[in-house]
Amino acid sequence: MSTFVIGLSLAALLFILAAGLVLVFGLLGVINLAHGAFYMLGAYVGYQIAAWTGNFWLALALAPVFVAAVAWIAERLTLSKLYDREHYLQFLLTFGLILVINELVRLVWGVGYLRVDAPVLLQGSVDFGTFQVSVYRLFVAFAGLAAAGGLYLVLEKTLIGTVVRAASANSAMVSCLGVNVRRIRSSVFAIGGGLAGFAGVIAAPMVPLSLDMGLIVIIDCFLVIIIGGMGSIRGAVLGAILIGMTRAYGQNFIPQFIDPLTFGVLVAVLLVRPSGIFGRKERMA
Amino acid sequence: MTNFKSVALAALMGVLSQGAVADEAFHIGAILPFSGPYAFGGEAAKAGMQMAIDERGGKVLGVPIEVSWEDGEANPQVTLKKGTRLIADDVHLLVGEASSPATLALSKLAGRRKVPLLNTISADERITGSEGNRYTFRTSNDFGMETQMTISYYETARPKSVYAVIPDVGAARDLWGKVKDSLPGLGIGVAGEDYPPLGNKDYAVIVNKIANSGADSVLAVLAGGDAVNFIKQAGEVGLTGKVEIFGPTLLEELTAAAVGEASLGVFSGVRYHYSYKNEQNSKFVAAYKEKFGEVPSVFAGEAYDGLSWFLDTVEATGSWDKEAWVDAFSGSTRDSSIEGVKTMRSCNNQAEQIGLMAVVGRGVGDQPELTMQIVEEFPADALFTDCP
Repeated sequence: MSTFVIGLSLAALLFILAAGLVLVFGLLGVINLAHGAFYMLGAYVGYQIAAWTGNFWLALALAPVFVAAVAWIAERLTLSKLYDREHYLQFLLTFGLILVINELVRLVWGVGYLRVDAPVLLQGSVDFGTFQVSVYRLFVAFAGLAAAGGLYLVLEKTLIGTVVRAASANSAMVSCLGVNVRRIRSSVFAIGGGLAGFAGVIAAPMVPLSLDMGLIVIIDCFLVIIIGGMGSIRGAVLGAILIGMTRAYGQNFIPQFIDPLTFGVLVAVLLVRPSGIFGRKERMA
Repeated sequence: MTNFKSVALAALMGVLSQGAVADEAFHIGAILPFSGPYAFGGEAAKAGMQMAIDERGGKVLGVPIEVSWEDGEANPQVTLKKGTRLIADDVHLLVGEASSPATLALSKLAGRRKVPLLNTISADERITGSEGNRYTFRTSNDFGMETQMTISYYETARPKSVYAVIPDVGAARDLWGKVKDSLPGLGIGVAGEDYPPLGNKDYAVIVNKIANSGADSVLAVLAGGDAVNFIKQAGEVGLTGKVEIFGPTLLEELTAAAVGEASLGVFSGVRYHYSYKNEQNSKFVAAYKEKFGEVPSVFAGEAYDGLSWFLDTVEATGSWDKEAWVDAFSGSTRDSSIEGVKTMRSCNNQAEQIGLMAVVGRGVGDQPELTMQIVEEFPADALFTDCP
């Protein structure tokens, strides 16, 4: 049971991170390599706010906003010029963003490990009789569920969500209807960055903050969206659960094979569903 | 006159053939991890090396010391590429890397190209063992001595049973294999063992297995981010207060700070420590604090000590012949090391030295908030066998 709860917390964190990537790919068609860098930036900014104020909750509220602002500026200044160009240019650009963000973080915070403590309310563990689970992991699992529910409601039940989905399906048509697609693109990229920043702050009390923390997690994040189907939020939920549980149960039984096992899940899914579980089939001319 | 010319020409040829012509500068190629998982160590090692150079007025053999700093990224391919380029630039000495695989790659290159290589932190035994060569020297600990320290730790601690968390790499598995073989003789059982990959993302499940295993001791052969993750997550469910955790390279001040309170009471070997009592170390620590405003880390101390030792050896030869430096360094004894006396074993170019065991405690005065407190010093002869 403890393994299941730990798997759920891993899945929750992966989902929050992957959701931003899915949104950006779904609407912009851009594979944002800098998503891991936004996650790292969120953790570092969260660290700074928590260090200044001593308040983790304030860090959790403000750091994602800061990262969203950075993402918005990056999109307006750079990515927005490349939507009509070849995909490899967008790819290179987001790779360049990683280098820029990494260097900025290195300049401001240095290369040493940093620490964020969980708030007092979430410290300690819950005893389930035969096993214990840390309160913070339960909180992470809850945050993931809340993020999934919130995204579903916004995308499926609100006018904004309808416009975003429509722009994702056919941005030219939406533009003809008088919607400012450019603004929607910028906003979605900013929200994607904000979600990455949110995941960074959530992860901060569980891991040491370091310059490569984004790189460590982003590979699993890409596995999640490929398994779930590029651009599908439902798929991201399922992909995150699959990867989270694989990592947790793999750790329990065969930790030395955890990485091959995780990639094995990807291969197995793609053999059965080449476009991912909820991926859309593209007609090739 | 003809005879004089012939003699002069012969002398010149002889000198040139030995590569012993004085250069305008002593060129060091330092390949350290300035990015990647050991970036914090690379910056600290750079600071330690700079201290060693500044201390001697920036000169050796009467010429300025120039350093080309390169980022090895703790990556063997990158390190090899940069090493090749530095050798093409005629460096007199290579220093690096921090990651053992990268150091092994660099060592093979140094051996082939006959350029001295100084390693001050990687611990894989093969570097100065089965894959060592005449040109590669290590001035810090190797896993062999850390294996002995681990066995000595269990001889004293005598827990009922041990749970081992070993990264899935050869050197760590070798260490655990030797320790595991010694445990039955000490009446210590093995409650469990896990081999997570290096850079493992999450240890919560393993922590839970340890908690349910009945073990009263954990051997964690982890370092850097892996060690921080493991102890932090063990602390989340209170495991650190229930079992004794030890690892030969588990923590130092930088990583203990990243763990926080959960690191208190964790035992670890330390390769160098700022609190080690000797005159040279006190002088070095005071100068380092004045320059950088903090105490030197393991990476800084080891880099300072190793480079000072090598440059003093070069100076003593009075020669520009790399072969003379290598001959002089191998078998040399360093009485003024900041870790007591060190001897460069002539059989494998591994520095024979003391071993230090510490426990994380609260710092006092100007010490870091969480600091390693030395609890045991192992003499060199307890950790090394004589050269054959």
